[in-house]
Amino acid sequence: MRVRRCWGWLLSLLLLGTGCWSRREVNEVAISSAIAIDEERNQTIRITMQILRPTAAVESGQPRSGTFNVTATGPTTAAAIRNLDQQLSRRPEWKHNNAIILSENVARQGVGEIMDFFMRNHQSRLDQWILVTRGKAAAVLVPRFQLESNQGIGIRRLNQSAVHSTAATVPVRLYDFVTSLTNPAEDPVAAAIETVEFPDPSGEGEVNPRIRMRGAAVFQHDRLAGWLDETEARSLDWFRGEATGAMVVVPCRKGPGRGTSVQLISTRSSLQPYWKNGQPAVRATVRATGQLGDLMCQEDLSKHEALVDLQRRTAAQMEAEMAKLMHRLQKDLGSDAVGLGVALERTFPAAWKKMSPQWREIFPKVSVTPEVVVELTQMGTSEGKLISSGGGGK
Amino acid sequence: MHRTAQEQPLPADLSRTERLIRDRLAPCGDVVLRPFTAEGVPGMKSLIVYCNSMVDGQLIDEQALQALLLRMQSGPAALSSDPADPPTGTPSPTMTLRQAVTEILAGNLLLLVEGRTGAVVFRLERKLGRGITEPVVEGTIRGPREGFVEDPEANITLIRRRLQTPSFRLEWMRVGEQTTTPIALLYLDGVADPRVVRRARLRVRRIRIDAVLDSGYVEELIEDAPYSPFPTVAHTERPDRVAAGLLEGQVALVTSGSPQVLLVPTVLVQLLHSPEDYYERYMIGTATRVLRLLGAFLALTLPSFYVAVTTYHHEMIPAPLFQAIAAQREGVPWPAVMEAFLMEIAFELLREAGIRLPRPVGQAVSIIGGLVIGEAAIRARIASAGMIIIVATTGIASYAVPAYNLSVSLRLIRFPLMLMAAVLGLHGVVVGLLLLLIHLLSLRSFGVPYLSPIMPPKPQHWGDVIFRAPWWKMGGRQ
Repeated sequence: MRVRRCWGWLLSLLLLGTGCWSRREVNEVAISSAIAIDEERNQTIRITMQILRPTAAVESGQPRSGTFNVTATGPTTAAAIRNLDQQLSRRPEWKHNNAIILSENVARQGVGEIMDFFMRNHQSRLDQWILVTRGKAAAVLVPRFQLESNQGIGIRRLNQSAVHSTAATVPVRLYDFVTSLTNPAEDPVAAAIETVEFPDPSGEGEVNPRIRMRGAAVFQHDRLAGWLDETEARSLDWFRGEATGAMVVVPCRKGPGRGTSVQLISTRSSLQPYWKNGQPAVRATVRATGQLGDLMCQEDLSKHEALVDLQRRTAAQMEAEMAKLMHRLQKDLGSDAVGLGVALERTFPAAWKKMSPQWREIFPKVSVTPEVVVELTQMGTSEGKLISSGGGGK
Repeated sequence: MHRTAQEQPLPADLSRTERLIRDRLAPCGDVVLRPFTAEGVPGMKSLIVYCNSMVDGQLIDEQALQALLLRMQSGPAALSSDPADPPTGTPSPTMTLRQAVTEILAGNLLLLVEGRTGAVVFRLERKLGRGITEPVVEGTIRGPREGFVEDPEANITLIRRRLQTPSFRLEWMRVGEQTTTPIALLYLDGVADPRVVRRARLRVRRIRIDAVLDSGYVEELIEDAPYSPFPTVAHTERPDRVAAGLLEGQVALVTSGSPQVLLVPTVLVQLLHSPEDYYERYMIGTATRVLRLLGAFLALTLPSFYVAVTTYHHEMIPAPLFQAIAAQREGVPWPAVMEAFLMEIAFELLREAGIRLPRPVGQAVSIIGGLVIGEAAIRARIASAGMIIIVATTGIASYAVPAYNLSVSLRLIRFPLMLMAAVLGLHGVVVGLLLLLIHLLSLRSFGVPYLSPIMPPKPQHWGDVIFRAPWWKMGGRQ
């Protein structure tokens, strides 16, 4: 009985003596929604964090902004984030952080060391989005989203719509970014984000800064190598088989007309390395399904042959875009953002071992052939074409 | 009183018997000893004894006295047959004083005849009590609407009507030094495990207590694990549930004066089943059963999960919800666990008060409790809206558990679990649940493992644990 009582005391001591270790109430933390990283002179890191003001959601009365930004500097990322505590009455918590925005400056200097903090810290989510902006990163946290309450959610939604609808950028999450960063067989890529100033539609002359995601930043190892425009970004998406929703505008076959829009619904891609004259080469096959967005040409698609022809022309256009991107990556930027090295390593591990020390020299010479197959599965709710102008010109 | 005199049959000497009984029962005030002789029948000297508060006066007249008088007065022919063997009474020549006292106090009339040992018993008990009504606690949409009453005979009739089989067995026992409460032990021969029947009989016989005023006394005195919060004896007010239990091999204990019949052995899954599961079609039965299991789990763990997640594991909450919770908690002065304890205790108070409230006041109090306290607590920033939702959901979920005693123990265990969550987060909840599992695995009810048929696994019974297999899929008796 005494032994049992003793155990009871020990157990309660264990429970009560630990003192609720690392207990943190919901209203004792400052919730971060997005983090921007800039670099000051003399290599100081500036962290700007957008903090949610939770009560803004429930307060009635005059509208108050739901967020505010705090900023601090430090010699390292961790130190800079700690220095935020000097201004914040609550401990910042970035468990719900949605996006990390790097300035062009930081990206050019190399992001490997900065990323160390976000991979090491237990609070950071691996699925937050990585973005690079021209100019200052903190500037991205300033404009307000009209529909979303904060930058983090806004950026997350923009990334999601990039995946499903526009494919104007290359959405990359922290985990994938760091995976390609640490893998010598590939180079990382990140979405590009920018602030743009639109004049107020009412014409009052007021200027509303907005946030737009367009294009992508490609890296060589951990340093920014250059920028891709939106066409190049979507070609990169096709190589990677990630973003599915691009709108491909195919010029008309004959006669006047603006073109035919093909909305891609899904793209699947695979890289197949092979040997060509003793040199490594890669065949990139893309299988895309799409639907007809609109038809602004004098064409009749009710014929099977016409449809097949449209599919072939769409594929050809995509192949041309992809070849152009490859040329840019190989010749201008020297960045293996497509992941040719990974494909080679997987298929020919022994050859890759010999090849990998000189990969930077070999990469620009690898011949890449894009092969695209497009299948149009839906024609929309109209058949053929809406009106036949030009005197029934069949 | 001397033990020997009590255990001896009542002597043939009527005046001695009278003295013995008078010594024992006259001080009660309601025991009547009346000499009974018929005019013109000189040799016949007898005495009737009964307890005035227990017997039906009209019945004494109709059944006992008139029959006896007729017999005595109808002359030599009738006298040749034994006058101590009247048509409506049961002679018991070996009746001891102790038995006689029990019989008298049970509401029977004793006829003592000069020159004969023992007595003749007339069952003239006054039938009092309410009619059979619908079960209050264990209501169902479909199925019989009869509920037990306080009269054990009526209760047994309700059960027996459903089981018109010769294998039905009934044993009477009396428990309680002062109350000598009759308890009936019921089982089906050939269905119930004889070891369980023996064990049940033995445990009831072993009860040493002054009073048994409800089956709850019996339950506490025969259960396997008195230190466990979990009930190892089921009680029910539904005769159909008892009949089903007997058919499954359970033993039923009907306690006089209690509308709750005990069922042993009881396993955990049975406490989560409702008779309605079997009356509704199997798909509906399964769906409601799964819902009820979910309810039991929520009643046990929901507040502790909420406390753990909001104080330790913020990353597990989706961001917009987290923001909403943070907004609600803004200004609440105490930690989440305090908030949870406060609101849970408020809810338990409301529930407890609700049982005792006079019916006309009930509505007013539930309005005050529900609206005023809930709404005002949020406005005064004593509790957050999220916590009120959690507490309310837990409260509702706990009433989805069909066995009231299990629902109470689940609500009780939830408090230490909340404490564990507050101290160690989800680790604490998991440790608490594991301890609970270990405890449940160690429990037995009359020799049957409490988690059976899940553990030890009996796959042939698995059709009736979480799911309710259709009748045509369930095997015969198992």
